[in-house]
Amino acid sequence: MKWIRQHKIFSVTAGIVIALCLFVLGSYLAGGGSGVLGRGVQSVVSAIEKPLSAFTGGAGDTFRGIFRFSSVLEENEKLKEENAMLRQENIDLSMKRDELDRLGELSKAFDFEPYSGQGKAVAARIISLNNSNTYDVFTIDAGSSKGIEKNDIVVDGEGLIGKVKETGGNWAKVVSVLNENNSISFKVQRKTSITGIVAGDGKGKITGYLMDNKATIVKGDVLVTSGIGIYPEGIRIGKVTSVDYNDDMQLKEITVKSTVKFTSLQKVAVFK
Amino acid sequence: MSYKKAVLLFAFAFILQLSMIDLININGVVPDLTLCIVIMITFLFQDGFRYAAIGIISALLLDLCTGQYVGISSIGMIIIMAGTVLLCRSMNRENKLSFVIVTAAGTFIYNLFYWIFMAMLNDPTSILYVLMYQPFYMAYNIAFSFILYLFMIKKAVRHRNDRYFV
Repeated sequence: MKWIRQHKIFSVTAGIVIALCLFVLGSYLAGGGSGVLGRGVQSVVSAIEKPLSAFTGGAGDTFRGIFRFSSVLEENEKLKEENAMLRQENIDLSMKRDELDRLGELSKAFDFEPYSGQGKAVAARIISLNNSNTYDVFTIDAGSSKGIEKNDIVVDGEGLIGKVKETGGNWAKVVSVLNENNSISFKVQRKTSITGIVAGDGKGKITGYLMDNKATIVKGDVLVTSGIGIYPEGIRIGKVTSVDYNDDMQLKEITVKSTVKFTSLQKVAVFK
Repeated sequence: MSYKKAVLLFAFAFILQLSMIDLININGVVPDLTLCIVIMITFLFQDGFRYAAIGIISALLLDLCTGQYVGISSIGMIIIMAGTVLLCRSMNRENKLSFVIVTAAGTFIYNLFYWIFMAMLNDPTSILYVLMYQPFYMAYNIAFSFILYLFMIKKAVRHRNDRYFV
């Protein structure tokens, strides 16, 4: 006790460090959540964050517009070309719709009920990002008050973003596809018999492996969710950027670039 | 510096960090405002670590709101505060370059510590990836800290161990 009194600052600091270590340990054992206290803090903070984030989004767009005018023009031209292509694609797709309807009828005959997309969708804005790996885990401004629950699916127009990890009244934490603990079963859009598992690599990319080493997958192949696990079938995950055979593990490994542009992500949709 | 001012400064940084910081986001790199303030207060003010300690609470709240695990940032802040106090003993606090060096070193050590702790908790992020982004984090933190420094240097009083202390 005498030693503690003589080294007051050191003792207090050591006490705080030990308490914080216990916090980290508790949080780790709880699977990385922030607990009841975290939910309380997050509820208060999100009330302040919401208007500021909305302002940030608007102001950010304005700044970007000023400094990137030439690139905006270039992007506009690209979008015009893309629009023309999409129109053509739309015509092709409507021709295929009849065929799809017929196949749908056929699937009912086999008592197969694919994901109907009838689940409720909630639009949300990203209000804060994780400190360490920016787009690994982030917080959105919609929570249990809007019916969002753990493991709800988060997407945007480009594809799969991730799943809801934790919810509070007016906020929810989302674990993105870039998170290494978020494993997703996939199939290749070009050939749906090719399946595998992917997860984030902690470096902003997605890596994974194929179930069948003999399956032919090539750079540029688009991966979609297979429907196994919590993710419904057919959501775009990303494009294959490299394919390697790992001799040690005897697995065909792939690297995938997400179709979602995480760096400019602001709004998301949450599907139940 | 008073506790009241320190609380206000950290609260302001906390709100900014969670909301408006995205405005200056470059490829996912943003300045760590709490870290910058902790370094600045510890460096500039006599017994600054007493006020910078509020940064530990701020970091804990940030972890609660956005972090994967709660408490790592706070331990990091304590390490940086201790390191800054030790460095200040052998550095000239009046020199702006000293402040830049302390901020750069602080940023690097903090991020390295964060990576080590996360690696112990099975985070697979490679050290090369962390190191690759360090120059950007350092540059951002130095820029932000320097702006703060220019404001706060007027409020700082001479330290007992400064040159020409009277």
